[in-house]
Amino acid sequence: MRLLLVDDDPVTRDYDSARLWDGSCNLIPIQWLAQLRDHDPATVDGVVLGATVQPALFREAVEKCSRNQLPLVLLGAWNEALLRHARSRHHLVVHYPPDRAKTLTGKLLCETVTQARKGLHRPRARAIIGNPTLRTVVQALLEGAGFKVESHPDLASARRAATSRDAPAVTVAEVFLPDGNGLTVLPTDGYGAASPVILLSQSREPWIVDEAHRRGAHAVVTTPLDPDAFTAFLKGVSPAGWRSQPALR
Amino acid sequence: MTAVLTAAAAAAWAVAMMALAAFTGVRALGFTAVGLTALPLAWTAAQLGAHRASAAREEQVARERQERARQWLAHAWELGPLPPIDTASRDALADLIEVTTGDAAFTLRDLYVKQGLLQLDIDEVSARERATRLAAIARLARVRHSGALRALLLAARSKDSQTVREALRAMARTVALAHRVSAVDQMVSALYVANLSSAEVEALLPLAGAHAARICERLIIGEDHRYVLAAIRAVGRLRLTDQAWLLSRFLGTAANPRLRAAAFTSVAETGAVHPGLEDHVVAALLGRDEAVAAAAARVAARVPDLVGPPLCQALASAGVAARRRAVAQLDAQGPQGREIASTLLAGQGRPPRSAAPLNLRER
Repeated sequence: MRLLLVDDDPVTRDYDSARLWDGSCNLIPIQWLAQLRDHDPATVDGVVLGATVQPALFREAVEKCSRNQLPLVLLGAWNEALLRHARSRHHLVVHYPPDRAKTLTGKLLCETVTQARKGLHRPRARAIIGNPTLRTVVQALLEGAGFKVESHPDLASARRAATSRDAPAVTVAEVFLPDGNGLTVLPTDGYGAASPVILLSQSREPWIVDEAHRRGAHAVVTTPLDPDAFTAFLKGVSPAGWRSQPALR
Repeated sequence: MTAVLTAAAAAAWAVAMMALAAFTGVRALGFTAVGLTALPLAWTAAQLGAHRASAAREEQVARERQERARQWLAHAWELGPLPPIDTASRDALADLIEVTTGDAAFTLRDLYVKQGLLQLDIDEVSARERATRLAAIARLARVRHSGALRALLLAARSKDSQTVREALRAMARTVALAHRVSAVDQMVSALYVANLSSAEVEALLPLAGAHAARICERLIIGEDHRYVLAAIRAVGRLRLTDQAWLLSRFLGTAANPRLRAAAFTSVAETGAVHPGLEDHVVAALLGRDEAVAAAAARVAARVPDLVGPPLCQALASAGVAARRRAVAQLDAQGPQGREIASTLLAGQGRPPRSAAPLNLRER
């Protein structure tokens, strides 16, 4: 597998070069814009970007990947706005935050690129929201955070989808839905759902918060929705880290 | 498939009717039977078609609005160009402002003003066409920008009652987010100008959010007494405990039994009893108006420690009929009221003069 590794700063790197060059894939280092521009996209399988690249390199990489449907792997601490920008332009974007980038090996990178080419790189999210505009906002935020979103206007369609598909990585449900209570997407036994559930509610009445807590919801977020606060909640709902630190706020 | 089946059934029905008519020898009967069946069916089919077309149009509008909402979000996050400014676009941005808060809502609200959409709405509030006017007011109700208050105040003077109601609703929602005190003044003026019923004002007040207390205060102490009852009821219903002192002061001067009963009810609902109110409660309990006495008994049952001692003193010098009325009203307030009544009766030393001793438990 041939990958372009675009990084113009050889000093401050968020990844371990020795681990990355383990011989599993053919990494071609790129430092200049002209190198990236002139490289034939038909001969590579994907592009890997370090966190400190210049804006021109970033723009060119996103455009090149988008044009040629190549996976784009971003390594290290990337700005949220830039991530959102990349994801809005290209759907095959995978981000490795600094802690995961440090342990990234060449083999893992190859697997990631293969998964992205198959369209399996994004975790699924389910949004069950009655208000169409709020649904659009949540969908845009989830997509910006790297999720593949399936949205439902009511409980009935969400339940139909739940019978035919696996559990999503995260569920966002409105408490007051046209055909029932969003709390019912959580199990009643108090052991929590298989994946994190974020509830959206117009009010923070005690019965809602208590019941959500009892059923094991990850968070109850008040609407009108603050997109920044919601994005912060989304960061804490990676399926691996969720069970260890439930954060009902 | 359904259309083919329907057409086949209709054709079979027509053929059968015509065959029956030919068999009986009266052809007009066959035409009449087919016509009488076909007309209602055709009318129903036309109605269904119209409904279907209307639903499809609404769905199209909703889809277009959601698409515009996505475009506005992308533009606000500097990910896309400015969407075209049309009705769907204006509605979508107003919707987005309504469902978001924090920095995002601030950015969207800023866009609404800078792109001239707020001014467009303000201009359209005074449009001659009713639908345009109401749509603009509905958008302003979602955007809640205090710059639109003056235009809404003018709309509240409209001759069209629907426009007046929607304008006041939009004003109340806008006042809830306003920082200026003058917004409350404008709201109060609009209420008086609109001349709504008391129940309508009562329904509007919760929309004003944190400013509802100030509006209630202005309505209670104002010289115009049209909305005093609505304001008093709103104080209790919204649990505006900060305004309970106002009710206490109001009860010292008010003579209207309906208003006094409403004020006592509101005090009982807020649970905030200010010093001096106990005297009004005692006076109302010993008074002749049953509704006022019942409401005062609710307050007494809520704060028995405060009302008990002065009531005991007053009962000692009150007439038997007044005593009986007071005890009966307290007794009707459930266990807490019965407890006060029992204490009062015990303090009297003797039961009220009656044929049989008053059995509080059986009442």
